[in-house]
Amino acid sequence: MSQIELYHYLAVGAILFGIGLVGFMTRRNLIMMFLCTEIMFQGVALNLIAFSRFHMNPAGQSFVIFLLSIAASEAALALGLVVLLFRRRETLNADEWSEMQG
Amino acid sequence: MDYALLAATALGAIGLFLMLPRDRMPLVRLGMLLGGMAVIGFFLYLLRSVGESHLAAATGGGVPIPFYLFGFIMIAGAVGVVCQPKPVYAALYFVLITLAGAGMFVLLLAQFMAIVLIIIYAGAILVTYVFVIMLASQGSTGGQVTAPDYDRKASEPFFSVLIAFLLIGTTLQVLFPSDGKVIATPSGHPDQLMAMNIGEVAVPTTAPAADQYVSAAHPPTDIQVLGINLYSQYALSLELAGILLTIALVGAVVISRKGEPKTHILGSGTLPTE
Amino acid sequence: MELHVKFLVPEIILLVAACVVTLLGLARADSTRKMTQLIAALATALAFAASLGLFGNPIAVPQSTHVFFNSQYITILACAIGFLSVLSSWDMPARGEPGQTDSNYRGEFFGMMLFSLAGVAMIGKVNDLIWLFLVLELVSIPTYIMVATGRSQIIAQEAGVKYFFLGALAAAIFLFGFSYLYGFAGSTRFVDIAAAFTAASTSHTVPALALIGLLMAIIGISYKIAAVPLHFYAPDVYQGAATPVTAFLAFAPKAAGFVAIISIVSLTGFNYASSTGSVLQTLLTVMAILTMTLGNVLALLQRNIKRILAYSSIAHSGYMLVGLVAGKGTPDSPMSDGITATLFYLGGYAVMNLGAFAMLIYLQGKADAGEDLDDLAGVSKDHPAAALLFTLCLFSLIGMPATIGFLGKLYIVQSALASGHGTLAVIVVINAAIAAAYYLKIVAAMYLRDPLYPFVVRPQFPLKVAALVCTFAVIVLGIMPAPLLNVTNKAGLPSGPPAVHIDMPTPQPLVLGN
Repeated sequence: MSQIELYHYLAVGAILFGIGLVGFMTRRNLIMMFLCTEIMFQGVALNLIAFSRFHMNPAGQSFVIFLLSIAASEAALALGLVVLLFRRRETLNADEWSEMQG
Repeated sequence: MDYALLAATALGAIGLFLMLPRDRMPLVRLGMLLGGMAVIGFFLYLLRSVGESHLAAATGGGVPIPFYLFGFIMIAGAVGVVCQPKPVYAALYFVLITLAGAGMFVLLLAQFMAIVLIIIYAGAILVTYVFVIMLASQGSTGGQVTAPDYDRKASEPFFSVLIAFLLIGTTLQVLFPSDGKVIATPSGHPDQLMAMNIGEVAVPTTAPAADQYVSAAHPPTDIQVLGINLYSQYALSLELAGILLTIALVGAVVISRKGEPKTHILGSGTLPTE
Repeated sequence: MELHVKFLVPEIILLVAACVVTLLGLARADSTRKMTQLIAALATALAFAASLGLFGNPIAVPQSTHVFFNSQYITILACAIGFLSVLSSWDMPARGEPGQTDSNYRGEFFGMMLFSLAGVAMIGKVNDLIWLFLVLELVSIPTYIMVATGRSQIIAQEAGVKYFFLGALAAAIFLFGFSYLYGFAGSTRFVDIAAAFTAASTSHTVPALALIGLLMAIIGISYKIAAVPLHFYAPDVYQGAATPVTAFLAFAPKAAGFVAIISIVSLTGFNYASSTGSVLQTLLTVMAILTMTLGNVLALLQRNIKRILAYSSIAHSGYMLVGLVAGKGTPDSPMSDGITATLFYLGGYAVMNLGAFAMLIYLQGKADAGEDLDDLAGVSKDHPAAALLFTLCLFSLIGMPATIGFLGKLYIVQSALASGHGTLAVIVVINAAIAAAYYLKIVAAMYLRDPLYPFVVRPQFPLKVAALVCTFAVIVLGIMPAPLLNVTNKAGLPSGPPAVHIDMPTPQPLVLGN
């Protein structure tokens, strides 16, 4: 039967991480930016599960559980912040919120 | 340095660059073509490396179709999220990523994690996203059909794609070295190749016998193993995760509450600065 | 299986108090809400006492096997600075928009601060990648909330958004690194990863994958210490956040980040001679040089005092990174130990920076006053004591002799010279000279100019206490560094026979049924 190497999964994980990074840097919509960090988290989770399988121990899977719970709590905060700012600015554009001069 | 892999990465980067949203998008189709070619070329490269490895030869090779299917959906979904001007569609693309990711997890024999991923991500987090997107896009476009300007134009596309290209390129070069193994094979594990089919996995006879429900006749399921691991080795971390979730819960409420003084119960909620 | 929690007593005190304060802080009655500051101060004082070993003997607890320093030092530092931070932000939750009433008292503020402090106190004891990840988040997530809700001007909320979103990105980056480290060693425990590195480097087969893991982890955590390449958020966030929050930001994430980076580097055993180590050392060297130079040069261009202090915070991270570049040093010459120097500097920086910020809070009577250089013009005429304390803290930040800042820089430079990084030592000295220019600009504004308008100060007693204690510590520890040096020096030496905190069963192989 067919077999497949660990590195194939790692490659997909790395590609997801990279695409998420591109999205974070190019998109200026706050919701989109946070969605892109979630893609990066997905890449990391795939890495961890693949390593967990490779090493035959459940530590990687436990790591992913913690990853998911932190991702959930960060999502709660992110959406809270987005709602707060949207109420005051009526836009989701990250560039428009720069009252501070660099 | 593996030039075939580098070429595929570069092709993908150019494709992604062309697909990123901007004012006029004459080359989107070309970008999609290039990106698709890059992914297919990359998969062919993977197939070749599988074919060359000795274990595949020993077991007769074969194309692991599910892996390529899920891999393609994940990558395409990620590109979709990044390049889609409308946040709602982007969120739906993200659901696609989580579903394909759950498929990958099943291939990796992490069935419980696959279910958790779907329930937490697709079921809970993404639904909240869609709610907030609806809430926000209702006001910002003012009934307009088109997406607002900041969603239609990518900022610094060249620079970002270049950084990501360097990152992915380096990582892939490292992952597929010309001279064999990247990390040492763990002891007690046949080879660095991973079994695809659940039925083929040999169950080790050294099952953790501490639990009365676990015996050689009834090997523990992955949930049992995971649970034992979580509540023994990571007991303290589990407490911390609970604390963090509480902080986030309180924080989200505190952040998004309106700052109106109690004395003005009928206040409009606008703050004095505006 | 037995869980030893005795060594976590200070953290548990802080966490329990944080929960209580968060609950009370959201109560209906203002009188209940106002108890939070008192509870927070008591809790940090209690935790400080516990960390010093007044209840039982926590200093004798088993030390983590991997970390090369006495983790109790960080706990003591976190509790002490935490106590002073609570004092210096005493009336903070009541402060809001001008004209706002007490009914907007944000009692949960101190709860967030205590959660974050508990994370800092715990970080030295971490012995596992997952634990490290969670503790870093425990330090950061409350600070995101503190920045966003610290004051109701929109500038603070923008700062919160910027801080939070970049923080999430940084978390993703260091998690990617952690995933490769786990993949390399097959375990998340530091002991196992360090053993894997030792085994691999003796046989010269450290995989590039592990190296990528290390680099990504360090780059991701560099966000917490505001070092290049993830430093650029600091000026905006420091300026946008309420001043007491800014003071806290300059301590908590930075301390946690430095300890985390030391832990990550210690996985390779500080073996800079190996091929992995030399790459790490190059990365740290580049980061150190860029961080301090960039911070100091850009600080020269600023007029807003909070932005100046933000860039100065970046620059000080650069100095501390030099200690990391110098590494462990040799056991026979204790002064060559860069890790001890870094930890000493961390403590010193925390004290002098908090002192400076406390004076800034004191002088910030009106909502936004005291942020521009002009706002401080001629302070010495009306408030000579405040100006003097501020000046002493600034002198310490410059690194004038007889202050703790001087000793910190001295140890850093010594360790760099002892490990053969002469160029780096010279760069530190040049940077310290550049830095003097912008600190002295603040001092000159206070002493040489005439006041533009009368000052309104915040005469809170706790705030004055905090400022006095900090300045006192800056001078006393600058002349007699023995107490702090004793703790850090003990910290620098290898920590005795290995012992594991929590006796866990060895991980079983993943067994899967059909």
